[in-house]
Amino acid sequence: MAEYVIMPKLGFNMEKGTVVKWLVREGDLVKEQDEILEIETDKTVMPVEAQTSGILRKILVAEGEEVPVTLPIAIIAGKDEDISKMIDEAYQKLGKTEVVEKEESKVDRKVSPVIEESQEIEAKKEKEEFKKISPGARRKAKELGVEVESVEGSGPGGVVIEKDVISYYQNHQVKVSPVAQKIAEKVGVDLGTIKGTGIGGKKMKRDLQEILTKGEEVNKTEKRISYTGMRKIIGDRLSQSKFTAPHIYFTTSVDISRIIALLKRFNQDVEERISINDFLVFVAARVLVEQPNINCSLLGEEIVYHKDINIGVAVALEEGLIVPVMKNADKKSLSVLSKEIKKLIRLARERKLMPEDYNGGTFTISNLGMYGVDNFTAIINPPEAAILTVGTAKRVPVVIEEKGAEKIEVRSLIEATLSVDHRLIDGAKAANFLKRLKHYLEFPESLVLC
Amino acid sequence: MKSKFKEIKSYDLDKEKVLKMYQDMLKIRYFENKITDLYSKGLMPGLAHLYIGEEAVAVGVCTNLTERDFAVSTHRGHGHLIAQGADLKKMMAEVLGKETGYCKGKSGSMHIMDVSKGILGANGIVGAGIPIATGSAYSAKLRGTDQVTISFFGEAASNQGTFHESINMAAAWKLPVVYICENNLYGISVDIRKVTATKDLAVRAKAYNIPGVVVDGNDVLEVYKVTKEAVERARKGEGPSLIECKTYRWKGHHVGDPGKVYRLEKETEEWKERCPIKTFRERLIKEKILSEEELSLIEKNTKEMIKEAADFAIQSPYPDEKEAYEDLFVEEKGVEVK
Amino acid sequence: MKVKKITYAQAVAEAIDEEMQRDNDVILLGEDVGILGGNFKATVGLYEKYGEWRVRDTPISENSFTGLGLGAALTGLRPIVEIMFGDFLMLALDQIGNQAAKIRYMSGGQAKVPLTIRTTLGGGRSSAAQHSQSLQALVCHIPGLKVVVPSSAAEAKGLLKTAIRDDNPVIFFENKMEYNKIYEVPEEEYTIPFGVANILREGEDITIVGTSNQALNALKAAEELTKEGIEAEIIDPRTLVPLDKNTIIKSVKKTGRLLIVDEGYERCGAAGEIAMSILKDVFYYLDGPIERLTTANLPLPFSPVLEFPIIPDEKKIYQKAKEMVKG
Repeated sequence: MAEYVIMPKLGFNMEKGTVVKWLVREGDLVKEQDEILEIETDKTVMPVEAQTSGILRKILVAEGEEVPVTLPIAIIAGKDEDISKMIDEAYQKLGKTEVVEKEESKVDRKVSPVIEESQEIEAKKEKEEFKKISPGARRKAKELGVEVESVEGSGPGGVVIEKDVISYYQNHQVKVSPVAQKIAEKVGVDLGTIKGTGIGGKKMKRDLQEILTKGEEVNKTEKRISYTGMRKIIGDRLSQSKFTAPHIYFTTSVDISRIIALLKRFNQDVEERISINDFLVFVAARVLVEQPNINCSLLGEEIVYHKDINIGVAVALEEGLIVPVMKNADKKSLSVLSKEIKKLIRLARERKLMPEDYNGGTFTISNLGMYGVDNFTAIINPPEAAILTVGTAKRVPVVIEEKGAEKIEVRSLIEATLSVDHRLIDGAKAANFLKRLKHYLEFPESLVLC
Repeated sequence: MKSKFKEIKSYDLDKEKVLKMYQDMLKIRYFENKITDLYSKGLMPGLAHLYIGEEAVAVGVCTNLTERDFAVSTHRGHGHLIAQGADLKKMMAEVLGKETGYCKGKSGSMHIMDVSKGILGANGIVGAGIPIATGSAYSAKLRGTDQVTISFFGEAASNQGTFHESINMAAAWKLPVVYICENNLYGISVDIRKVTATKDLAVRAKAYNIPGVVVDGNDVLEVYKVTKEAVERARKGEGPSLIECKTYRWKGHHVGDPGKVYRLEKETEEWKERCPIKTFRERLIKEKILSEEELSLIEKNTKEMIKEAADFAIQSPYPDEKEAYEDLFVEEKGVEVK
Repeated sequence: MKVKKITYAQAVAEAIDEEMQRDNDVILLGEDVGILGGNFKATVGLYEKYGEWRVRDTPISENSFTGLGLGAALTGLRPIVEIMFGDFLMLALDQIGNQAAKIRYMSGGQAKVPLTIRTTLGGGRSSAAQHSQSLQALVCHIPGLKVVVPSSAAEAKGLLKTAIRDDNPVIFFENKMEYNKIYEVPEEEYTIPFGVANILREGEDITIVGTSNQALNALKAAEELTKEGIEAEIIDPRTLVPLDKNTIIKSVKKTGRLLIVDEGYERCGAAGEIAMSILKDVFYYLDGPIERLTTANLPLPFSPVLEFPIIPDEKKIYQKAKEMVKG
């Protein structure tokens, strides 16, 4: 009854997935449809359910590792079932050359490995390498409230002995006066770096003041998190895009006063407010119909001119950028588009996007107008060929020609920048795109003809 | 062996003493019968080794002793204990493992001791009592008393190293001890005649340069006489003697052993004919020392004593579990026995 | 306290002398104890002083003269029986183990057995397998016997006096390797009680319990260990029955490590017994497993190059203790 848990293919284009987090441990009982791990693909973290019930006997792929889809990543089997063959085969497929231990009695899970800086115990590769902690150490640790697994052992063979626990306790115990504690918190000082001059090394207010008045650089506590998961995935992709595609940039200023007035009129009639951004998507889609040479991708040795126009709208999340895609944007009305954009942005914010929501994009628009940015250049979202970025609307004086005379009026202007992959798109085409975009944005009536 | 009894008168004993000897033998006989009865009723834990048939030896020897003298006995010790005047009730209670027994239930039949009467104990190891008896004699001599120690042992024990080692020392230092070898022919099942080259064991005395005498163990007066001489020698400081009493046990080695596999029925019957009590009784009547009535009365009274002892023992309580931890060392009572 | 310098053998003789003087019931018997003054010179002068009845040269009959001593003990005397070599205890095991040990108990407390059996232990003088054994474990095993294993001469004297005065059977092991050594012994009279261990040296890092002269070897090892920064606490238990467990437990709770050194064979020896008898009380204070250093499970060979490697000594104690603390 043993079965593999495989890296699931969750999107058409998904070729690999990364194991983010195992939700169960080896030896745990799992039931069909229990969520047993989380994986990451492209942009989203996804739970994976068990397809069968049994004991999670073996985890083949660890957290952080990336494997191609459909490959085995774990084995669910009966408690005493012999899965050694399955393990061997799996490792072969995974290309792992590690010598697999024969399934012996469960590894002692109660002892967690040393996490902190550990001078390595002369690794006697015995059957099970686990941390030796003496009864005396355990007793002391219990007494002092110390996590004995975190203590380094100095006894023979690396055994953690009582005095190790005592040292650990003394070193990790911050004996601080309440005043000093308050000051430290306020200023952001790591008390671990301050020497205490009070009784028994207690840190006093005067110890902090000395530091501050001396003007020594106060050690701000730095925060460290690992560069993994979504951020890393995005980061890798962006790096790849930037370093592979030769980016060229074109900017134009667009007078959106008439759009603003138009939207004002629209929004009186519709329930959900249509935004400038919605309009941008609508217009961009129509321009791409005119200029299919922007709506393409370089796939291997071929340039593919996509048949659909799927426009991605960049959404900023805590952990990075995510781009939900409006499929067939050219075929949707403004109101439909608006609704869809709102929905997808909401889903994105709730981390509930499905792969089909963010796969298959052919063009991306990123609007940082709400941040007051005038303009910015973006990195093309591979495998797309171009990305449009839009800045904030500004009220600026412009020169208007009216009845043959020039006059100055205050208008709302935004700057739009197009980044293109020069391998696929040359300057003229890019410039033309922007020209047409500007045209439609400044003369929205002309859209009636599309 | 056909025995010729001498006239009782020729032993120069007063009637009381003769009567006591008869009664002592009866006590032993009835006691042992009672034990058999209690055993068959399942009231007796462990085992006992019965003295039935050998009464004349114990009584004949011990009649010579005072309360100050010592005796060391064997696993077949009831006869010796009773002959030295041990308390029947306490003996019976001990055999049943009761708190009121001599040893509070700690020794059982095989190790009963009455230190106050100089009974230094029955012993479960064959031959182990012989050096102890020799030591008590050494002690008496050193302390300058006229106490005598009797060392009872069987014929099989005379083949233990301790027999030879002890008699050697007693002889070398002229210790006041009398070695009584009760030859009942069988050590459990082994016939002494098959494992010893000499017909008599008393001849071994010669090797140690002490007197060695053979006596009819079923003639209580002969045993008495011979022992008397040896005891006097010892008291005078003339050293040890070895007395071999030829006798026979009617029953098997221990209660429950029929003793028939290794012995001929014929032999046993012959010895039973020469029962020490029966023959003595006949002599008493024949020589008109005691009448039938007197004898019957003695028998009745003795039976009564035994019954009392048995009732006492049966009704006595068992010791408390905790008592197991007591009496190991002198100063510690109920303390951790380390 | 004034001290005098005498040999271990002299200290033993003094103890016996003092007790024989004090109590007329004390007698001494054994092979060569009288005219010769003992094979190891431990009873010199006693025969001349007390005469043949109180100081008795016996024939070679270990079992029976021990039994004789027992019989005398039951009837008013306080005998000291000497069994020349501990190996010969086995000849007297019936009288020691089946009789002396048990008579008081079997008699329901009626009898008392004030018998002292002096014998020897210790190898290292090429006496080979049948004259070099340390059989204290054998007699510890039988309930009803007290077992004494003094370390130095002063200890032997004080403990022997207590043994003689004790109303129970005591097996007293003198170390034959110590007899000729000169020690400081207090001038005035003194006794050492049973069941009270002696802490020879205090330390924080490891407890070493040594029986008989192994306590002294351990003390010497401690001097070397201190150079390594290891402070050993040395305990001389003095008596194995009764055993002063509390002192050992207290020490091990402090140091977290225990090494037991005993010259008996390893298997079923006194070291294993001590370890087990205190383990429950110290388990949660241990920084490492309890270890023992004993004679190997082999008959002792004759040639020194074969004998010395398999018996405990100061160097082995040092190495073992160091290993236990430092690895």
